[in-house]
Amino acid sequence: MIEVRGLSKSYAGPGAPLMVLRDLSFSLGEGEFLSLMGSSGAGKSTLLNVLGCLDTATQGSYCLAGTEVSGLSPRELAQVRNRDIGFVFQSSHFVDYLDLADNVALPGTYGDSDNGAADRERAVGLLDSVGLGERQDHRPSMLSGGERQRAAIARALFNNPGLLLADEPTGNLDEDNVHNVLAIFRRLNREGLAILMVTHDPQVAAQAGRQARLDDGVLIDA
Amino acid sequence: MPDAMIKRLQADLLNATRLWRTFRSQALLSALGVVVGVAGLVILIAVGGGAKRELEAALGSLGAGAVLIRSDADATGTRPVEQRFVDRALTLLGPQIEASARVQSTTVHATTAQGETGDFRRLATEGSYREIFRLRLYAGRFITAHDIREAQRVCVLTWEAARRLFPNGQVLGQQLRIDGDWHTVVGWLQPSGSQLPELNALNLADINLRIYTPLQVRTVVTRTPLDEVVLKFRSEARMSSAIELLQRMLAHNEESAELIIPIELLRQQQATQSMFQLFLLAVAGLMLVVGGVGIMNTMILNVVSRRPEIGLRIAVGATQRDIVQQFVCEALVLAAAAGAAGILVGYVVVALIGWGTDWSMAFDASAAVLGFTVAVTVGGVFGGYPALLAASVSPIESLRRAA
Ligand SMILES: Nc1ncnc2c1ncn2[C@@H]1O[C@H](COP(=O)(O)OP(=O)(O)OP(=O)(O)O)[C@@H](O)[C@H]1O
Ligand SMILES: [Mg+2]
Repeated sequence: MIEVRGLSKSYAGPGAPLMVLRDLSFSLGEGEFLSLMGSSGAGKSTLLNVLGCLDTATQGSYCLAGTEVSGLSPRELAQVRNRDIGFVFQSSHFVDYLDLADNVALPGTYGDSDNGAADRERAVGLLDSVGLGERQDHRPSMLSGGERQRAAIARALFNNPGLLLADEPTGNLDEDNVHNVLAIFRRLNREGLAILMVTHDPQVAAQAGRQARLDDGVLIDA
Repeated sequence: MPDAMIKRLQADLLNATRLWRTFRSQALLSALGVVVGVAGLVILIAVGGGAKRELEAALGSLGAGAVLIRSDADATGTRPVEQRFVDRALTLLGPQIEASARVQSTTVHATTAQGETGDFRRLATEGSYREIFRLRLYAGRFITAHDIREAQRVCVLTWEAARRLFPNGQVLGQQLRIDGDWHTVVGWLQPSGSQLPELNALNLADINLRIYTPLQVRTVVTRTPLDEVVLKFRSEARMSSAIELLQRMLAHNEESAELIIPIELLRQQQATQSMFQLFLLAVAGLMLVVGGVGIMNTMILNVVSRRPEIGLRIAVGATQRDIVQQFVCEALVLAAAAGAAGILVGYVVVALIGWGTDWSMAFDASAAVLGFTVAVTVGGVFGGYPALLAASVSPIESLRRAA
């Protein structure tokens, strides 16, 4: 699914450039569930942004599902984000003037699907699968933190991506909700979805099939 | 247009309506300027169009190539125009003149056999008067040369005068006593349009309450003087030299008569009116600019407060172009709604003006089309910059934990 070779990312600063990712190489197979730990500032979010095509690497190659991403145009990158990748962030944002189902269907707006009603139906189905079917008409701001994360997962799955990138998805949640989210992740992973999940919690990390650490800009399997 | 584009546009329009429905009061306040501006534009067009139409109707019957020689009513002891003078003028200008009509005008008291009574303007004139002013007969006939020659006691009534004097509708053949003499009603004119106060100088203001009788050619001793002579020129182009000649003749003869040139009145009237319209247009334009800035201000605030939304949209596959299009659409929808509201407000005000005053209003669909177009243009122009601002939002920064 993911094939990274010699990836570097640095930020230009007032002084010397800040090297965040240093000659990083790793791969993630189809349907693999990898959890990534690492101290704060290690570059985990930076890596996820690059893998998610929101940011570009300074150096190195990144192959996503057989496509070299570094050569793609902004338009093609947007298409990759839309079709091949699902995002879940620590605190998920929603469009508050749209109801929950329309929020979940948001990736459909930028995709190829052309039927608003069918999009909404699919969104409601996804909400059902994360236990939020009843809340389709609600404003996102009405939801609790745990519900928001589940809704965010439903949204990430809308275009049926092969890869889910989750940046501390359980960071703001209590124990029960952490459990709920992880249960959903494991189910999705069993269904064939590749997941890369950043977390600070060793117990959460332990739920993944494969665990790794990012230290000093280098990724090491634990 | 490809299907994908239509689909995106539909999605953006739907999105914009949902946005503004959620932020109703914000939308209302920021669009107020455009509402007022468009309403002003619609009112301006309706009022201007109405006045123009009325003026054209008033002068249209007379035509541009007409000149009135009128005895100076301001002078003490009005000195009428001598017929000799008119004869000389007609001889001099002969080939250029298409038609002329002499008029003696007085205010008279009229009474019917049934006892109906009233004060009217009596115009003793000749048949050509009807052609020059394009008066249309409802029934009967107008004054003829025979009437004048034989000094017939006949009269022709305007629509309104006949309605007042003969409310039962029996008009033709009835007897009417005008200043002591009985006349037979031989003609009844069709109603004519209303008149503008500006046209009082043309003596058209009382056009609705008139009685026409045959021109009095001579009294026992001298030829009866005239109060007014209407000359209609064949061509408007060569009028100015003829007018100069007439003016010289009037000065030379020390006639206390004035020349009234309707086309000049029209020009003056239009000049003042277009000044007024220009002023209103400037005010409406200013309002629209202020309205546009209001929309821009709201959109910029929107972009700032909706950065996480923008980041999210980019993360799920929006391109910068998609973001620009979305925010332009939002501004356009807001401006279009404001335009529609402005048109509505404008028409309501126009209706109220028309109801409260006797101004003629032109309910013109082109005003609505123009108002809407202007509103949407304002939305596009002032929504462009905020949209570009929105597209420059960095998804990474806007999606950070702290955001
Ligand atoms: N746009 C930027 N410009 C400069 N430095 C940046 C920028 N973005 C991130 N950094 C720096 O890069 C480093 C890595 O940041 P990143 O957010 O990837 O860390 P992280 O591993 O996700 O940390 P945490 O666990 O706290 O979320 C940090 O030192 C951060 O200050
Ligand atoms: Mg981070």
